[in-house]
Amino acid sequence: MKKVVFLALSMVSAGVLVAGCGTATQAKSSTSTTFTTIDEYHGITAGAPINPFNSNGNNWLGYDQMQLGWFTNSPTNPNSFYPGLAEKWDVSSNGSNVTIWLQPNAKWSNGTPVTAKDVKTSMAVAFTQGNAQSFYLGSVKVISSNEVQFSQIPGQHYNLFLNNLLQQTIVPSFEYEKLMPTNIWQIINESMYTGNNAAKKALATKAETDLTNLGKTIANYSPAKDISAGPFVLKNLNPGEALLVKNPDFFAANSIKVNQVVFRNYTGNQQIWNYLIAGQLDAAPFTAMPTNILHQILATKGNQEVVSPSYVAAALAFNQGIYPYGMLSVRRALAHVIDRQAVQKVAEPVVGTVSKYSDGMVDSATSQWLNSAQVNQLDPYSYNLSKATAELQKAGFKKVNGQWLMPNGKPWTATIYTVNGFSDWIEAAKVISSEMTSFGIPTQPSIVSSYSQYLKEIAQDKYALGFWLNALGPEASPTYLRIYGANDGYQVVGGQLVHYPYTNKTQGNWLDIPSTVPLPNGTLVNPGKLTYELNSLTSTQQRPIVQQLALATDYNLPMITLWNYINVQFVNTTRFGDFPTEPGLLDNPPAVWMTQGYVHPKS
Amino acid sequence: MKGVLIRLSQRVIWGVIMVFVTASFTFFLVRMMPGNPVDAKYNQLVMQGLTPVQAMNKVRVMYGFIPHEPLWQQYIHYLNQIAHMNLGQSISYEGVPVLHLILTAAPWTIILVLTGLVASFIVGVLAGVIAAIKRSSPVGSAISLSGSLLHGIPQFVMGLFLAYVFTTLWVLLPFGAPYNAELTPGLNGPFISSLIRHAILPVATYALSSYGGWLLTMKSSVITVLGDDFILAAEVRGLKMGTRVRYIAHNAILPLFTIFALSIGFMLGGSLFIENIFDYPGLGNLLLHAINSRDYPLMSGAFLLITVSVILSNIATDFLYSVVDPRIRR
Amino acid sequence: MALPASKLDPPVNQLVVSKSNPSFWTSSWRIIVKKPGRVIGFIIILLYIFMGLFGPMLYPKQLPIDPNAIYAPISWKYPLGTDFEGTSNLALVITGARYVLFAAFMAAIFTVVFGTVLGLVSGYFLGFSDSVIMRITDFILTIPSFPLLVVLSTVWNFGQPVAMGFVLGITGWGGLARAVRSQTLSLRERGFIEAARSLGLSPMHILMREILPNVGSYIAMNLLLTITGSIYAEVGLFFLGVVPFQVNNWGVMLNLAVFSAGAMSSAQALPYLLSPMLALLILTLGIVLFLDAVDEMFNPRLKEV
Repeated sequence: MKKVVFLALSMVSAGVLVAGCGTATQAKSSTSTTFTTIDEYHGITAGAPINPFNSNGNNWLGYDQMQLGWFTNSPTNPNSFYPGLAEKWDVSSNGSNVTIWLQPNAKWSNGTPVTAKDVKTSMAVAFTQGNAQSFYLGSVKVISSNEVQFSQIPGQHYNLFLNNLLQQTIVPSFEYEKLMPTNIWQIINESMYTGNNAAKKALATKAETDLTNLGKTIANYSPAKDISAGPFVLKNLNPGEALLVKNPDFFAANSIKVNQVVFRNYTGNQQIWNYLIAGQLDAAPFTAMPTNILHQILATKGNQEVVSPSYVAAALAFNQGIYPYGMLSVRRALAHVIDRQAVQKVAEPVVGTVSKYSDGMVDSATSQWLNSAQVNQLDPYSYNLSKATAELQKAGFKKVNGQWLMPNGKPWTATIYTVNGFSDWIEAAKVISSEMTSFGIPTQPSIVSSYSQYLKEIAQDKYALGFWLNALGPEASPTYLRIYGANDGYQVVGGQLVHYPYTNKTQGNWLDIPSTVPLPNGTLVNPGKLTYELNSLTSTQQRPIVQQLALATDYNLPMITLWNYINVQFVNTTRFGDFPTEPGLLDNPPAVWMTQGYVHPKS
Repeated sequence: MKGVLIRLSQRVIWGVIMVFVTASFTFFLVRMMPGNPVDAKYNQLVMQGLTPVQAMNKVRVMYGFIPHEPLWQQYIHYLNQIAHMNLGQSISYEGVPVLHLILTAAPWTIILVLTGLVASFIVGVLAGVIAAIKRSSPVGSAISLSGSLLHGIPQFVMGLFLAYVFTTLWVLLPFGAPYNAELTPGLNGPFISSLIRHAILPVATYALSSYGGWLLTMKSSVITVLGDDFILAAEVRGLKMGTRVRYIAHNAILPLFTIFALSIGFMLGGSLFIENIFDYPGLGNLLLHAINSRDYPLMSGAFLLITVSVILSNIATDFLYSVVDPRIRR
Repeated sequence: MALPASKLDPPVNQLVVSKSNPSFWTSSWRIIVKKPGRVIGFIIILLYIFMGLFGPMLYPKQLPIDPNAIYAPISWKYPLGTDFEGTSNLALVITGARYVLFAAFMAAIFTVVFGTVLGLVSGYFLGFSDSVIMRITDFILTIPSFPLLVVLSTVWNFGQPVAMGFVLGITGWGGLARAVRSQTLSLRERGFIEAARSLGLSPMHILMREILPNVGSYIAMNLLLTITGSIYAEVGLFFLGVVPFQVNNWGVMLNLAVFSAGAMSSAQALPYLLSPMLALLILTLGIVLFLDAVDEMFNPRLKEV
C-alpha cells in the first residue's frame, strides 16, 4: 500500500527517514526527551534479526547503523559529505585511491574502540553482499588502527567511488569476522579475476559462489544484542514500536540531547497521517498525501513543513514497438492532450510540481545543467488540443464520429497501466484516461496487482502505455539510465556496452527507442552510448553530454514527464526545537541532525 | 473406549491427509503467482539511484534464498521439511525461518480473537436466550434487531467505524502497536494496561461483529428447544419459570459449543481486516505482507498454519464429543 | 468470525407439498405486507436490483471528472459529495453497484448449484459417491475461505464479475452441500419417496421432482445469505487492496478513501468513505428486514401465535 513516492523517495538518499519527536502514546510520555519518528524504509518486524545486512533487519540508519560519512545529496558534487565514523578522508586526483581516518573517540556500545580492522571486516562483508563489487572496490589496506586505504580495481574510473565507499555500513569485527573463513580476502581476490586463464576463471567462479553463500549466512545472522557505534542503541522492540536509547559510548555523545527515540511501525501512509495529525511525531518522512490531509497536519500545534529538493519524477512511458506509439506525432499529440496541471492537482497535489519539460531530468536539474538558450529549445508541450489534432492529422489519423481512427483504419483505443497501491499513479491514470477519452481516444486505466508483476510484464512488452519513475538523480548517470539503460536494451556486459534489440524478448528492452535519435537541429546522437559515457566522467565533462541527452529526450519524447516530486518532511516544534534547515542535512536521518548538534528538547 | 480410539485414529489419519493436501495445494498455488520478491527488491534499488549492475549485485543475496531446482524437487524438499516441522526460510526476510516469523505473529492474533470470541459468545448467548423467550415483546424484538444488524455489518466497516470514532474523532485509544515499547514486557501494571488499551479497539471490533451471529443462533436454538416435548412436559408439570429457562438454555447451548469449538480453529485466519485496519501485528498482517512481497515460503507457511489449526480443532471437537456424547460412540 | 449459520445442519423443514402450490406467491406477498419493516426491506432490495441492472446506463462510460471540485461538499449537484478527482460519489456508488451485485449474484448461483447438486447426489445415492463428495466438502469447509480468497486473488484475474463470483462460489458451497445432504438423507426414508421408488420412477425424477422442492425453501434462504456474504467478501478483498481493481466498485472506493484520500483523518474526504459504506449498510438493512419475511415464508415454526 505504499505510494510510489515512498520508493521514489528512498533514492533521495538514505536519509528520507522521518523522525518525529514526541511521545509514544500521547497519554503517557515518559520523558520529554523521547523523540518519536517513523522509518519509511521498514516497518518493524519483531522476528527479524538485529542485523543491518538483513533486508528487514531491525537497525536504523544513522541511529544504530553507521556509515563512514553522510552524503549531502548534492547534484553537482558527489564527494560532498558530512563526517560519520570517518573524521576525514583524502581522495587521489584520479579518484581511484581513498584514505580515511576514523573518529579518534569512536567506540562500540560495549566500550571497545572502532578500529581499522572493523572497517576492513565490513568491506569483506560488503563483498559478500555484492555491495563492494558495485563500486569496483579492489583492495583495502589497514595503515594504522584508525587509518585505512582503499583502491579501485585497476583500470576502473568509477566517478562515485568515494561516494559509495563512504556510505557502506560499518559493523563490529568481533561480531561478523567469525562468520567468514580466515582466507576471506583470498576468496575475494580470486573472485575478481577477469582474465582468460581457464583455471583461474574456474577459481573465480567458485569464489563467487562462496561469497554468495557467505552472503546468505551473513544476511540471516542474528546477533544476541544490538552493538552500535552510532548515537543510539536498540533497547526494546515490539512489532509496532522500537525503543532506542542514547549510546553513552558514541563519539559525539555530547552533541546528542535526545535521551531516547521511539520508532513507529506503519503499513500505509494513512497511519503516518494519523500520527502527524495527532501531533505525535517529532519528525516524519516524506509521505504522499492529499491536500486536505496537509491542511489538517499543518493545523496541528507545532507541526511544520520542511521542503527540500528531490530528484525524481513520474512519467508516462511509451512502448515504441507497439503500434502506433512508434510515431513521433502520436507521442507529441498525447503530450498536448494531457493536461499536466490537472493531473498533478489530482494525483500529487502536495508532494509534486507540474513538470515543465520532458527532458528526462527534474526541472531544477534542467536549470543547473542547461543554459537559457538550450532551455528555450525545449518544447514545453503545453495543453493544446488543436496542436494535438494537427499532429495526428499530419500522421494520417482521422477523426470519425468523435473517435480517432489510426492510419491503418482501425479505431484507436488505449489502456494505461499502473500499479495497485500506487495511488498517485492510479489517480493520474484515471485523469489521463478521461482526458484522452474525451479527445476521442477511448482509454481506460488498468491496475496491475503488484509492482514486481508490473515490471515483469512491462519488460515483456505487454503494456503500450505505462507509468514510470524517471529522472532519478541527483547524478546525471542514474538519471538517464532510467531511460537509456536496461529498459532500452543497453547493458554493460564484461565492461562493454551491449545493446539488445527490441526483438530480443528476454533482455528487457521495452522502450524500443531507435538507436540514434535527432536533436532539434537535426544532428543524430546515440543516447544509449552517451548515457554509458556519463558513468566515468567528471561533472565538467558530463555537461555537454547531459545537454545533448536533454534536448534529444524532450524532442523525441520516449516518455512524457508528468510531475516532479518534492521532498516534504514534517517536524514538530512542541517538544523539540533547533531543527536544521540545510537541505543536505535534512535529507539525512534525524539522528545525523542530532550528531551535527541539532534538535534540542524544550524544557 | 475402543470405539473412541478407533474413531480418533481415523480422524487423525484424515487430518494428516488434509494437511498434506493443503500443503500441496498452497505450494503450487503460490508458485503460480506472477512476480517474485527479487524483482521487487531489484527495482526498489534501481529507484534508489543504483545502476542496474549495482542493483543486480545487491539482490544477489536475496536471490540466493530463492530455490532454483525444478518444481518437483522443490516440492519434495518442501514436503520433507514440513514432515520435520520446518516451514523453510523466508525470502523477503532473507533467511529468517518462516516458523519463527509465524510464531512471533500468532500470539497477537490469538490474544485478539480469543478475547473477542469469548466476550461475544457470553454476551451473545445471554442475549439470545432473552430474545427467544421474550420474542413477542418489544425488548425481544429490539435485541433480535440489534443482533441482525450487527451480524449484517461487515467486519471491515465496523473496524473503520471504530477506528474513525476512537482514534481520529475523539483520540481516546492508541493504535498501531500491541503495546508501548518504552515499557518492559512482563507482569507489571503499566505494561498490562498498555497491552489492554492497545487491544481494546481490535477486540471490540471482533466482538461486535460476531455478537450478532451468536445471538441469532442461540435464539433459534432456544426456539427449537421450546417446541420439544420435555419442555412442554415441564410446563404442564408446573415447574418454575426459572427452572424451565435453565432447562431450555442448557439444551439449546449444546450445538453452540460445537460452533464455538470450531470457531477456535478458524481463529488464526479470522482477523485479517482488523489487523489491517488497526495495524495489529498478527498472522493476518503477516500473510498480507507475504502476499505483497511475493514471499512464497512465508505465504504457504502462514496459510498452512491457519488451516492446520482448523483441522486440529475439528479433531479435538470430534474427540471431545465422542467422549461426552455416548450416542456417537456406537 | 463466528461460523455462518449455514454450517450447522439445519433442522429438516416442514415438508412442502411436492405439487407446486399456487398460493405460494400470494401468501408470500401477504407475509411481506404484514409488517412495514418487511415492505421497506423489499423496496430496498428492489432498488438495488434496479441499480445493478440499469445504474451504469444512467451515466457516461467514463464518469466526468472535475479537478476544481475535488472533495466538494454535499450539494444538489453532488448529493454525496465528490472524490479525489471531482467525480460525484453518488454516480460512483450507482455505477459501482453492478460489479458488486452481479458478482454476488453469480457467487450465489454457483454456491447453490454446486451445493445442491452435490448435496442431493451425496444424500440420495449414499455409498461411494457420498463418501467422496463428503470428503471434498470437509476439505472445502476446513480451509478458511477468506484467507484462501486473499491468496487466490493474486493468481486470479477478477476483472470480470463472473470470475469473482465463480471463485466465491467455489470456496463457499460446503455448508450448503452438507445441509442439503442431511435433508435429503431424512427425506429419502419418508413414505412418499419410498412410494415413488417402488413405482419405479427414475432417481433423476425423484431427486428433481420429489426431493428438490422440499429442500427448495432452505436453498432460497441460503441464496439470500450467500449474496450478502459474497458482497462483503468481495468488497473486503478490494478494500484490502490485494485484488487489482480495473473497474470502479464499492470496495475500490473504500480502499481509495481510506488509504489514499485520508478520509479517516479529514472531514473533507469523509463523504467519499461514507458513500460506499452507506450503500453497504442500507443493503444490509434491507436484507435483514426482508429476511424476517423469508424466515416466516419458509419456517412455519417461527410463526408467532
